Amino acid sequence: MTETVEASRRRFLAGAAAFTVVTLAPGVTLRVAAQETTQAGMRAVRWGILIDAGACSPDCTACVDACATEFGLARHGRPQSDPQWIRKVTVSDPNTGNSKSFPMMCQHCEHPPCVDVCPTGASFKRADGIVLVDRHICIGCRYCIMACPYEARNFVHEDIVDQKPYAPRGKGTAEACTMCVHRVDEGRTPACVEACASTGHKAMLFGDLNDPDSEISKRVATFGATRIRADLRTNPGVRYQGI
Amino acid sequence: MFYAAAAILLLGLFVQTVRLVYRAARSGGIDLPETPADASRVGRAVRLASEVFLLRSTFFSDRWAWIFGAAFHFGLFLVLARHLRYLIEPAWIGPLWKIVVLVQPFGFYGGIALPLGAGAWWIRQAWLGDHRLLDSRVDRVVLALLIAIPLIGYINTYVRTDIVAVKAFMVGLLTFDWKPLPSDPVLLLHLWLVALLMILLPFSRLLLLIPLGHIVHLPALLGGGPGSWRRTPNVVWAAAVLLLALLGPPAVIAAAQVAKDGIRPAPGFSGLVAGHSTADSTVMIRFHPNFLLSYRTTVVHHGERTTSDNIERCVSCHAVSGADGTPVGYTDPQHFCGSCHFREAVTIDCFECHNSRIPKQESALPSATHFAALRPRASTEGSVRP
Repeated sequence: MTETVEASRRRFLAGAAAFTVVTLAPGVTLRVAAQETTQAGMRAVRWGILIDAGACSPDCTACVDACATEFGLARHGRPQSDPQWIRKVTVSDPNTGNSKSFPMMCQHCEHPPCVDVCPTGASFKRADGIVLVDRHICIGCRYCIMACPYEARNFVHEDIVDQKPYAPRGKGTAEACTMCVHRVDEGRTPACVEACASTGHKAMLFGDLNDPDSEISKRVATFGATRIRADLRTNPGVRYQGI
Repeated sequence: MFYAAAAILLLGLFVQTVRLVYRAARSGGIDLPETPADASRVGRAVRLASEVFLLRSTFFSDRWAWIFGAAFHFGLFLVLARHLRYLIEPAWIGPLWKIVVLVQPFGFYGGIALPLGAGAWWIRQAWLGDHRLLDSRVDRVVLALLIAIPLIGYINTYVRTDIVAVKAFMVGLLTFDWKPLPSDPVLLLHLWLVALLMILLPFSRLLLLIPLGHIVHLPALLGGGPGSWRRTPNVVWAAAVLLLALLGPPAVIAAAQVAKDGIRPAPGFSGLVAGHSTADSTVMIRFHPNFLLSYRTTVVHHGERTTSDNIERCVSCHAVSGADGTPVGYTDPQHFCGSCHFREAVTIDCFECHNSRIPKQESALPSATHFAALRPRASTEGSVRP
């Protein structure tokens, strides 16, 4: 039901945005042609990552390292303020002694609390479900950091130089995992997923949750998946198995 | 026109000052009204400075006049300081240029005080019937100009006047190396009204008498009370003749130029790469912020990174390599963005997040078609840079 409503709403919006004219100056306009529905950001896709905690090794930090390399996340030896977009979490059950290790990052919620609380609209969800910060609009108020139940967002405390061209970062803004949006838009998979696969653990699977034929959808349908803090009804795009 | 206007302003200032000093001397000197007077030289200097810079007597005699008066004059100071960026080349003043850069945002907001102050005075004398010192025809025109000029100046910012050309023109005026002025109606109106203001100011009592009105006894200075200056036909006629002779021809020429050129629309984003080199070369200077912002929305919000006019293409031509072969940073005088933004004192914060030293990427180089579009200009003018 929700899917249907969402689809018709998207069609309506696509029609409304068929021809956008941006006024640059009196008498001077910039015409923006309609966004093709085939565009990555406008397709009716829902990007997600399925993480199999059973396949994840407690000692392996390939995903964390790959993220730091991909985005140039420098460590300054100050864990309180160093940026960390993805982290390894170990949970154990005192009754059984069972212990599981898995990566945690921005969960790319369908109903993201960070977007709800953002006073400027900098925190937003793309049409394909990826939650981002538009740093041009971010004022660094950090409401989103407090609102996120997954502690996924970071504040940039340090001056940053030599940023990656595809990932501008700057002091005084909020940031989080972008699900490697620059790679996804090019048809590639996120760096952490790629690194995990290269170690042979294959604990992370990236794909379109809205496409019933995608591998991620099939696996979710067959084996089920856990949404962390499902009680908050944020409906994360990052799902877990085996926890 | 601009030389003549400046000459009239300076001459008028000189004549009025001499006249005032002469009258003051005749009526026994300008006495600061408050007692006890300071006995020492330093004390008198401090008192005089506080009169000139803080409008001290006005503060104690008329709080409303002081609030708007001080706002107006400090605002005017900041606005004039901001406009230094059009008049001075950074090389002329060396490190002092940093002050000009620093004052820019203050000047932008200082401009709000000009219409506020002038408007407050007008409201006060027209509706409250108080302080009718600026009630002659010339005075009213000058007040109207002080309201209109800043407002038109703000419009200049938003129609994206080609300030590179404006600076070339202004510096050309100062160095007698004349350059053309862009035929932008808003800019021409702004400058024309400023020339009008410069010509009218010496004929208005605004120039000298307002600040002194609170310090010295005005009727003694004027000889016959405020009313005696209200109607001075010969002055009005002289001003009218001057105006016609000086401001008429430039206005006609400017209007003809604007009519000939029309208002050139910015090209669509898709025509960007070829457009900025083959067509109007000022398009990129004027509208690159709009293009960049539009591109930002396309990329960040719509996820469309594969457009043919992506920013990597700009970088592929415009990145400047330093001595060591790597691209130079924004603070380097050779940096494509930095060199111009430094000279024009326009501060940007793009590079607080973005890397200003992005290396050229071969894959992002323009296609053969775009190189073909660039070639004719390169061969005729020797440069593909706008």
